[in-house]
Amino acid sequence: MSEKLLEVRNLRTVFHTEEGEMPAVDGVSFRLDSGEVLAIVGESGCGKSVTSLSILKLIPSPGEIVAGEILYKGEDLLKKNTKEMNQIRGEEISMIFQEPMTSLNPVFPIGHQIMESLIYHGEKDKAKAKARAIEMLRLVGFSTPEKAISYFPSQLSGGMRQRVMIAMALTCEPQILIADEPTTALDVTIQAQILRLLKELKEKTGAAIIMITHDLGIVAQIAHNVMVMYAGEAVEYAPVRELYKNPLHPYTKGLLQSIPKINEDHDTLYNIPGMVPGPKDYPKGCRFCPRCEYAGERCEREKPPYVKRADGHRVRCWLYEGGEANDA
Amino acid sequence: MLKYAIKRILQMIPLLIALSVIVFFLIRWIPGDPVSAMLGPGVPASNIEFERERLGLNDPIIVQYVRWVRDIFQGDLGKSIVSKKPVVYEISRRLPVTLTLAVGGTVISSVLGVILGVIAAMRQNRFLDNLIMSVSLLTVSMPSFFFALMLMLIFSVQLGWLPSIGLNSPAHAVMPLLALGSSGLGFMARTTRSAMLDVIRQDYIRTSRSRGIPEKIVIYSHALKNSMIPIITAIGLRFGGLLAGSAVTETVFSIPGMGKFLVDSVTKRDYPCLQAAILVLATIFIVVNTIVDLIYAAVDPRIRYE
Amino acid sequence: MIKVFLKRFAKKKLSVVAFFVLMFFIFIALFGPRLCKYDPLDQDLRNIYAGISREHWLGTDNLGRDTLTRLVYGARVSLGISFSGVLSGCMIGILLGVCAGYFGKWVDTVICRLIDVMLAFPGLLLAIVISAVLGNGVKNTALAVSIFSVPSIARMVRSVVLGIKNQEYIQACQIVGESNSRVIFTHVIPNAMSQIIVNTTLNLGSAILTASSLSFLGMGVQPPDPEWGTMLNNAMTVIRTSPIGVVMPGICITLVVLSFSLLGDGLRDALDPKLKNV
Repeated sequence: MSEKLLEVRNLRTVFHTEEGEMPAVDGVSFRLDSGEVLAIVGESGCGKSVTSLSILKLIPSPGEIVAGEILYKGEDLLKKNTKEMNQIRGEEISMIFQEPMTSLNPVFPIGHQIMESLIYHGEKDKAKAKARAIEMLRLVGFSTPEKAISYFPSQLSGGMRQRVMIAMALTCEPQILIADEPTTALDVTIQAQILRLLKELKEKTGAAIIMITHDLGIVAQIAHNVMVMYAGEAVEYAPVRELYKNPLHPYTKGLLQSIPKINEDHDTLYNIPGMVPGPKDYPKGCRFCPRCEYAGERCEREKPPYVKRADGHRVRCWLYEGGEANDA
Repeated sequence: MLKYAIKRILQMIPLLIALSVIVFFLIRWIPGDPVSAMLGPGVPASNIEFERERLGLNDPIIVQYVRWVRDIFQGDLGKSIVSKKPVVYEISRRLPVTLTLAVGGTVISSVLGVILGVIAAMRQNRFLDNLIMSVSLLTVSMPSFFFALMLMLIFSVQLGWLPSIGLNSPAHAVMPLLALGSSGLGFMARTTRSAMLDVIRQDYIRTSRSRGIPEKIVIYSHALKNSMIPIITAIGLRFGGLLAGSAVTETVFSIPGMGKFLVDSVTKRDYPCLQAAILVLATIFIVVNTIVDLIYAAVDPRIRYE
Repeated sequence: MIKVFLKRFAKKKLSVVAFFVLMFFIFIALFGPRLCKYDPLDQDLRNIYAGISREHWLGTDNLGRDTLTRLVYGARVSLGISFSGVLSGCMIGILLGVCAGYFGKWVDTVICRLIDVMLAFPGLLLAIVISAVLGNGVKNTALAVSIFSVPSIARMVRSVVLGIKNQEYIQACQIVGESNSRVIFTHVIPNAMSQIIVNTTLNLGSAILTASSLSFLGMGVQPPDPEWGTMLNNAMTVIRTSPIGVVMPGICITLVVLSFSLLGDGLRDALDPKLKNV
């Protein structure tokens, strides 16, 4: 189905602090094909958001992308200047954020904010931009979009604001939509609506989506492929069905076990002991080692390679050394 | 918006009443008898008593207050003890001078201060930021009379470029405006910088950037408009500060404005003038603050729809 | 705790310098007069407007009084007014602010209106009004400074207390049935302390500005008492011939005010890094 749209190679993004360089993203690689939905999952603090912000080069100082390549349609975004990036942002690759309550500018009407995206990406005709803004608001589910364009964000609920964010992100028909935890801050019922909306719009526009989330339940509903991140690294990559059926990395297994299931009757929900270490506490060997129930002596000492197995399933774990499972 | 405006304007009324009560009683708190001060030394007690009766100072206090307020609404603020002229006349001669200087000083310090503050915020912790912040800190730490005198020492005594006292030509206004503007400049730059730094970290600025909005628009439209509330507050405060600060600047440069009028009224114990000067300056400040609040609402929809 | 504070504070080099500058001035204010050869009020009419010399390091004024001696005594007066005024003003301000923030309802309304009315007199005007009522002199100037600093401190404390009051642990204390005064003194005030300290430090600087402005206008400390603002006023008329009498007190005021600001900034960063730099 697919041609290669975006390829990230060995991305390394660090934060310069008083205690030294903190690698929030440490050598992450993945690719995204046109029309694909890729989910990046992991607990908070594992580098998902920094990865997504790195793609648009929106890392705030003291953060910096220090190594790697981000190839969009074959061109390295890291070599582009701010002006060239502004041509890409919003028009080719756009983004929606986790916090709908704070991600819209409170002092401008929402219509103005949508129109702005169009105007700074080449739409000269204000009336056309306005018509497009109204169209987009209708598309994301506003019943009276003509009126809604003059609303201020403070007049809208969280779910409605996230719809505005989606309208804003899709108004220039981008090739890639990066959705950073788009439903996390919302009520469960609203979450489902927003997900459905994203799916619908994806069908309509054909945009590829990178979905950042910690919620594996969402992943199953929408994604084609999944990348699991842990402590700044990719630890597993697989098509979504394969990952659910046959998770390899102990961390992925832990994540899957900690999803509550209605039909099972556990007294206590599984949870992975411990927390994601911060960049300054990364263990020397495998970064998951201190929390891993399968960890051996080698895991403490040496860092496992990111191996690709025959079926395209990738994993970073000593249990699967050499591309073959030696523990089933 | 109209509802908010009316509400806000009505809120001024109790404050103005409180102000009038304070200013009215002020005269009665001040040590010394105003009548003996008015008549001068060596006047027999019977004359003083006669004068008190004539001025109605022996009436119940509430009657005096009501009469005083009624007179104010009829444009009568009494007579100056020193010049024997109506206070309204004295003030009408001086108020325009002070207002001009205060507005000029506010405009200079606001425009320059906001620009410098934005630049400093954009260059956070780099050389330009440190320079602007150091100069700002210096200007807010320097007493305005000292700064004014230093200007005078340099530009009129040493260099002879500018006339030092009076206010007869535009050249005369340069140093007073600089003196009035300088402390406000530092204050505005510091306020703007911290407001901008606050806003620039907000999620919606990241959103603007993620949409490919040019950085200039992000800073000067999206961020600055959100920083406006603390900045406008600072401008309002500054204007009030300059009204009162005119006392100092006008004294240094011998400018016949409200500030000097106020100081002279205190030192010469010219009670009607003192009363009127305080009343006028404070009223202007209250009105300005109300205008500031209305501007808030125009800038920030969150206030409007509360 | 103290170690962390000192470590953070030491990083702000300018604030450390400011601290030592203030220490120097406080030392001068306390012990300087013993080191002076002259009396600040001693006139020497044969020797007026003397320039810099071995006898008079900073010259003399219009009555032949030694400028350096007057500056040293002036430090005592200026800093004394500032400290006594601000500390007493702070006490009242904290009391009002805590009451308004903690008890809310009509207490809050009354105190807020009171603050509003006081702040309706912008900046120096409030000080001028107070000093017009109280009269001149060192004590009355200190009192004027004290009253002058009440509304801003009260307003600041009120907003801090409002923020603290709604936190769970305070509500927990109230539910457990601790008395109001106990909650205020063991929880509310200690939590507001870092902000109070920072604001008090900044207020000390502005108090010196206010007091010297009043004195400069002839409404504060009266001649012949040596106060920096008064000295400046006294020397202003002869700025053409003898500028040093204007420059030196001016530099002293600026230096002290600047140091209080820098110290306040440093304390803010060291006590609570989350507070933003206004």
